[in-house]
Parts: sequence; C-alpha cells; structure tokens
Amino acid sequence: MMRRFSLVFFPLFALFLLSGCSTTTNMVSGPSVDPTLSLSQKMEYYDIPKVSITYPTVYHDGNEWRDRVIELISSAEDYVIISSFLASSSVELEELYDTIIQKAEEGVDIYFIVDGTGAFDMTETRFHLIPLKFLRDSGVHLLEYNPISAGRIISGTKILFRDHRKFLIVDGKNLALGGMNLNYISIGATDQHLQRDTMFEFASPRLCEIMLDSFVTWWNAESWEEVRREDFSVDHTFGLDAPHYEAWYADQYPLTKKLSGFFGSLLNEAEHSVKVLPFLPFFDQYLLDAFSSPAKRGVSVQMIIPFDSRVSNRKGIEYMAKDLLTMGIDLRIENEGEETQRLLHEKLMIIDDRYVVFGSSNMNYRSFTLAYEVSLVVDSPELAKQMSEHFQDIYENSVPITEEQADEWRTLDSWPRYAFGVIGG
Amino acid sequence: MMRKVGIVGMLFFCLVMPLGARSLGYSVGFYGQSGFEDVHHANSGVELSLVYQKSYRPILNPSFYIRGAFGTDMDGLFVLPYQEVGISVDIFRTINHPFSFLSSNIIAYDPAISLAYHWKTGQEGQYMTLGISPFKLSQKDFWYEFFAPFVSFNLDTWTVDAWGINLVRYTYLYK
Repeated sequence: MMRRFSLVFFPLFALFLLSGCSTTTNMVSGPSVDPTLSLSQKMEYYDIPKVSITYPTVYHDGNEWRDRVIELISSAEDYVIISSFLASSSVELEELYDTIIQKAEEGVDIYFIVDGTGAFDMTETRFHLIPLKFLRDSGVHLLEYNPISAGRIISGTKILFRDHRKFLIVDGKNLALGGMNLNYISIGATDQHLQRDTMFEFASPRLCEIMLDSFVTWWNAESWEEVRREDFSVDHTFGLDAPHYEAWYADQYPLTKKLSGFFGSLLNEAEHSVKVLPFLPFFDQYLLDAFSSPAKRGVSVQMIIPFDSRVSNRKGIEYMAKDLLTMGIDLRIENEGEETQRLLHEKLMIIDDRYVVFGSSNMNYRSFTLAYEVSLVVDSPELAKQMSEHFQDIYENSVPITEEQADEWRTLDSWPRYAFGVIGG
Repeated sequence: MMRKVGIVGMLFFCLVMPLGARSLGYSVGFYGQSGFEDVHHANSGVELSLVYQKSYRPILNPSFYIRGAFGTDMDGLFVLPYQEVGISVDIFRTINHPFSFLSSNIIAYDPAISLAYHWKTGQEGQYMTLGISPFKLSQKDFWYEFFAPFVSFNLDTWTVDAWGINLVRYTYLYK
C-alpha cells in the first residue's frame, strides 16, 4: 500500500513543484520576433500599455535620491505609495523615516510595500538594519509581501515569488521608478558601501492611472486594510506643459512572461546598437539566444557585468561567463578598483540611441519569470544620449571577458552559487 | 477503489491549483485522534485538505473542504484513518486581537467551527465530525490554525465515536 502510494505521490509532488516554474520563451518566439508586427503591436499583444512621460530627472547618487524622496514625501498632501524590494531604516535614514511618520500622523495615507526577504538581507545593510514595523504605529499602511516563515513552506514554489518593484507615487503627480531600494546600501551609506544605481523621476498622469489601477487590485488581494480606487486621485494637469515622450510600461506579475515579451520585442527592434547593464546576468538559453540574435544581424551589443565584491555573487556570475560568451557580443566586466567597490546595481538597456529601458528588473531568468517587476521603455533620443554617456563612463572602466578567464571561472565549487543565483539572484 | 481515486484526485487538484483563483487552496495539518471508548484505535499523522473559499465576509464566512488523513497507528503501521467532506465557518473576523505580534503583517483572528461528513477506513456506518478552531489566524492567502479539537459521531447510533486534535494546520490559497 505504502509503495503504491509513494509511486503516485512523489511523481505528482515533483510535478507540483515544477508547476510554479515558467520560461522566457517570449524572448525568442511568438509576436516578439514577428517581423510583420510593429513595436506598438507587439507591446499591445503583451498587454503593455503605451503612455507618455515628461523628460525624466535622473538620479545616479543614492544620497541625492534619498533627499529627493524626503522632499517629495514632505510635499505630499493626500497619499504616497512606496514599493521597495528591500527597505529598512538605519541611523543614516532616520530623517527619511521620520518624514514618513510625520506625514502619516498628519493624515496623509502612506502605503509602503516591502518584500518578505528583507529580514534576510545579507548585504552590508544587515549591520545597520532597523525593521520597519514601527511605521505601523504611526498609521503607515505597511505590507510585507510573501513573508518567509516555516508554515509558508507549504506554498511550494510560491515562496520564490518576490516583489522586486521599486517605485514611488505621490499625490497622483510625481512618479519615480528605477533600481534603488530604500535601505542603507542604496541610499544611506556615504562610503564604498553605497551602491551605484539610478532612479528616474517624471510626470505622467496616464501612467499614474495605470499604476494606481494595478496597485488597488494588488493591495486588496494581499491586505485586510482594503482600499478603493476612488481614494487615489490623479492630477491630469501635472507636467502638462513639458514636452512628452512615448513610452511603454511593463508591470509584470510572476509567471506572466510579460517581461520576456517586452525585452524580446525590443531586442528584435535593434538595428545598430544595444547597450546593456544587466546587474545579475543569470541567463537561460532563451535569454542567451535573444541577446545573441541582434549580434548575428550585425548589431553591436555591449554588455557590462558589474564587479561584485561579494564573493558569493561574483563566483556565481563568473561561472555563467562561459555561457554568456556564446552570445558573441562585446561582453565586459568592470575593473576591480576603488570606484567599483561600490556595487553597480543599475539595470539599463539602450537601443539604437533611441529607446531607453529602465526599472526594477534585472536581466535574468528570475526577474523575467518569478518576480513582480516594473519596467519602462522611453522613446527619446535625448535621454538615450544622456544615458549612453553614462554607459560610456562605465564602459571605459571595464575590460573584455576572455575565453581563458571564462574557462578558469567555470569551476565546480562555483556551481552552487550560480544555481542559487538563477532562482535567488 | 474510490478512496484511491480520491487521493489521486486530491493530488491532481494540488497540481492544477496554480491555474486557479485565490478561492482555491490546500492545507497541511498534523492531527492525533483516539477512539472514544477504544483508545487502542488511536492514530496520528498528517492531514491534507483541499479548500474552497469564495468570499471574505467579516461574519459567518464559509469555506468548504475535502480532507484525508495519513498516519500511523499504535503499532506504528501506516493507516488512512478517515476522509471527510465538510464546511467550515469563520464566526467573525477582527484585526484587533492579542495575537498580532505573531505576524509582521496585519493578520486577522477568525475562529471557526466546522461540520463534516466522515468516512472511516474499514468501518461501516455513517459518521459526522464537529470541530472548532479557536486559534485561527488569517492573511488573505494563508491561514494558521492551532490546537483545533474535533469529535466524530456515529450517525447510526448517535454516539461519540472518536475525538482528536489538530496541533497545527497551514492553509494556502492560490491567486
């Protein structure tokens, strides 16, 4: 009896675990590579809406972005929505969190989403980390997405689903998204621990509407403190006088494959150049094929891997290098030096000196399949020029990865770090 | 035969759940039970349930379940002591309660009572189980239940047949 039960149970259990997995096939098949479709049609197919945004203010310095967040929250009169994969307080961030508390006590509705992995932050932040639960005492609506606990192991692969988004909405006017978390290493540190990253702030009433629609549905599915869409107004006159640029906004939920369609479509659009900062490039075969495809068409593809002083992460990425070299692109890694001790956490893609892609998404299997992510592509040669100059600065402090290096890095003891990176990176 | 079909059906249900709505879910619990008169019929182990909950009503919120127990008896032999189909009703729900400290998120306290039709392996007759979950804590996608006692009745004789307790039960609802 037991044997027969095992014969049925274990194969089904294995299937159950696999049922939470997804693929990035949209990178290389379907509408994303259909030459008869325009970029607009492809985005429409993947349910990625077109919006218009003002020219973004770009923040490369975490401390500068922290001060701007304080300023924006101080100016809030109605509501603030903050989503930050990792967020915690520290001595250096007291002013930020005091501002949040003060505004909540004044009656501004503050919704703050963090991911449940925050308590397991293994970066330098862990030495400075003050959990955010205290915000709730002041009326901040704090939600920890998918907290990790022993009981929740029964949710199977859902435990891998993570909310990796980083965005800010203030009063239906100011919008920002990018790669910076609200923790010590992203915006608090003043030394080599401060990460290099980017946030983009702009105005877009239409995008505000879209993000609020999504937020209300998502929030109500997660929290007992239910909200109504009509509680969040949008100022349709905000930024109206400034020039606007076309953009597409990808709001990905786990297993939806939206981002692979988004990036696959954009890569297929490239005619002469692609510049990429992937952060953690743990690619599966579809991602490798998608990035090698423009190179095969004669497009110049430049990808820079950050120097990661965290040995575990670095070994995992180095293990991947041999596969990355098969793409036949200009694959480079940052030099180890004083500047690169500050981790390059940025995620960026520039196509044909025209399209600029930014947001929370790393370019890897995990972000494309198992995470909530927000990404925006803006059609703006001006922004592309600005970001290309930034890319060039990083490029000049990098060197090509050679076959010999990649062979040397491909060691068995690095494999577990690589495997962890694929699902946890 | 029907029991095997039921077990395979339950496992299959788990497999297809990721495609379902949040109203569908499953739970894993740890139980112990004893015959009311014959304590040698005691067994303990794991309970697996399939759960359907349509709404989040603040008062008298129902959910439905199919449940199977897998455990070992007093001799350490593997047993499938019972299966049941039932309804559980959350009597009320509140987020203001003394157990808030147990969770990083806002968690609701919603004690429940349950009533189920009960099949016993190797025993004829009709049975019914009455249970209570005095310590049930809920998030939108997850329930925690602790120390939930239950009693089963023989409907033919209207006598108490067995009693037991669920030490802990975790329920996960898909979305």
